[in-house]
Amino acid sequence: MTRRPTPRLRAYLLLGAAGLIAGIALERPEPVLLVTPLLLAGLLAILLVDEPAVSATVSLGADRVLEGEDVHLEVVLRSVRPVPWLEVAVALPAGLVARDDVGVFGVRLEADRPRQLAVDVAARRWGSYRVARLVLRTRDRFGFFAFEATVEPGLALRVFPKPETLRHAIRPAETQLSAGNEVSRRRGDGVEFADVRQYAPGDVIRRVNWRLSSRRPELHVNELHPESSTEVVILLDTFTDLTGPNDESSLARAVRAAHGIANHYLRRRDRVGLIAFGGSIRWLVPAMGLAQSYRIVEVLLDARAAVSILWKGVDLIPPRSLPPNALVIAVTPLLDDRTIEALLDLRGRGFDLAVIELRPEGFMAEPLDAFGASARRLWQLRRDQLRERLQRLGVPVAAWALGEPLDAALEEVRAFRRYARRALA
Amino acid sequence: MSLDVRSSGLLFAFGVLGAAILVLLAAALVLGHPGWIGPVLGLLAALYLGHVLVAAEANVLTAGVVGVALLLVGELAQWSFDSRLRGRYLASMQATRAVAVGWLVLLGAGATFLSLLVVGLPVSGGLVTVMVGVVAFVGVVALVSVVARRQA
Repeated sequence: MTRRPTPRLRAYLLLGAAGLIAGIALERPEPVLLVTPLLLAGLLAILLVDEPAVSATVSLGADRVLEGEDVHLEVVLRSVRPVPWLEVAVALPAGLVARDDVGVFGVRLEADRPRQLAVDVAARRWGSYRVARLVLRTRDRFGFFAFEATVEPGLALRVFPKPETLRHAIRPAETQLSAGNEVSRRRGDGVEFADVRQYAPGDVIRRVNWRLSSRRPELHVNELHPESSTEVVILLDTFTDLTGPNDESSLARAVRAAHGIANHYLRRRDRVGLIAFGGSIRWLVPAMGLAQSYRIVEVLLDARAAVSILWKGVDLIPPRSLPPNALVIAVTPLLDDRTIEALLDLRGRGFDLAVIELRPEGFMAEPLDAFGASARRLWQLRRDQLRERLQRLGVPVAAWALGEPLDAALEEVRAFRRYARRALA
Repeated sequence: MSLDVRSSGLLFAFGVLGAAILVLLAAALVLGHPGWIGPVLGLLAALYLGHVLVAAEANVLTAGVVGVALLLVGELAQWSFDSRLRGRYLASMQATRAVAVGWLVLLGAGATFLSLLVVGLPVSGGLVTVMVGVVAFVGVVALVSVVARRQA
C-alpha cells in the first residue's frame, strides 16, 4: 500500500515550526501556545501511524450474462489489524455499471473478521470484460495518512448481446441441396405444392393428380418444392461505430441485429457464417448447430471498430466463408467507402445480397445553422443516390432507424425481393 | 508602542480580515479543496498574532484557547472532506472519527493547559520554559502512545 500524508499533516507541522520560530523571534509565549495543539496532533499522527494489512477477494455470481441483466459482485475484506476507516471503490469498465450508482463503500474492519460487500452490477453493453478493479483506501485513526492499494482480481465476465427478435427471415434466392426448413424454388421431393405437369415415364404413381387427370385425356402429376437448407453469411461492418443519445452505439445495434439474424437462421437448421468486416477482418465459415451459435457470439463479443486507413476489399475474405448461392446480409451504416465498395463487389460477383442500413441520422446532432442544414441535405442526397444505385443492382436496402424493431426493416427487404427485383428483372 | 485594540477602526479591520479568511474557509469547503485548510489555519493564526502584537499585552490564556480552536477547525474541515465521497458509508465510521477528533482536541487542550501552567510559573526566562514544557509534554504523550500501541 502506498502511504500518502494528507495536506493537513504537513500544514500542522509547518505551522508548529513557524510558531516556535515566531515565539523565539518575538520573545513571546503566545505563538508557541497557539501552535502547541497542532504540533501535538502532528507528532501523534506520525508516531501512531500503522501500516494497514488489508486483503480483498472478489467473486462474481456468474461469468456470462445477457446484455441488460445483473450480475452479483461480492467483495470480501480482511485485515489482521483493526481498520477504522476503509473506503472501497469498485472501478468497473465502461459497459458495466453499479446498480444504485454506488461505487464507493465506507466500512470499518475488525481484526481477523472478514466483511462482505455486495454490488449488483448491471451489464449495459455486450462485450468481454475484466472485472473489476478495486481501489482500497484506508486512513489512520486521526485521518492524517491515507494508504492506497489497487486490487485487480482479473475476473472475466462475458456479456452476450441481447439478440433482436425476428419473426420472419429473408428468403434466399437459392437454397442448398441438403435438407432444411426453407421451401426451395427448385422442384423435387417435398411437401409444398409447386405445379402440375403431364405424366412422364418414371414418375411416381402417388404423385398423379387424379382430380385433374379424370377431366383430361392424359395423366397429370403434381410437382413439389423440396425443403432445403440455406446458407446465410452475415457481413458486419466494423469500420464505423457511431455513438448517439443514451450511450446508443451503431455497432452495438449492428451486433444485436447480427446475433438475432444468426439465431433465427440457426434455429431453422440453416448454415450461418459471419464476417466482421472492418479495421481487422474476422470470419466464420458457415456451419449449423449450437456450436456455431457459440462461435458467432465469440466473434461478436470481440467486434470493435478499429481505426484503419488500409484499403480492404472482398479479396481479403477467404472464399470458403462466402460460398456460392449464399444469402449475404450486410448490417452497416453505409458510411465507409470500403464497405460500400465491398457490397458492390459482392453483388457484381453474383451474390444474393441484402443490406440492413443502420440509419446514422439518429446518432447525429441537428444542424446548428443554415449552412449546416444545407450540408446535411447534400449529404442525404448522396446517400439517397447510393441507395438507389444499390437497388438498381437488385440489392434491397432496408433503413433501420433508432427505436424501430428489426422486423420492420427486414419487412422492407422482403417486400423488395417480392416485387421490386421482379420488376427490375 | 501599542495601539488601543478597542478602537472601532482597528476592530473593524481585524473583523473584516477575519471574515475574509472565514469566507476562504467556506470556499475551500464548498469547492472541495482540502489543500486550503493549512493556509486558512496559517492566516487565522497570523491574524490572531497580529492582533496580539498590535495590542502589545500578554494574553496567554486566549492564545491557548485559540490554538485549540484552530485544531478543531482543521479537524472538522478535514472530516468534512473525508466524508463527502459519494458512496455507502457505515454510520459507525463517523462515530469513530468523532471520537478521534474529540481525543485530539482534548489532548491539544491538555497540552495547552500544561503549557499555560508552565508559563505561569514564577521562573525567569518564561519563553524558554514554555518551550521546554511543550517539548517535554509532547515527548511524554508520544512515549505513552507508543507504549500503549505496542501493548495493544
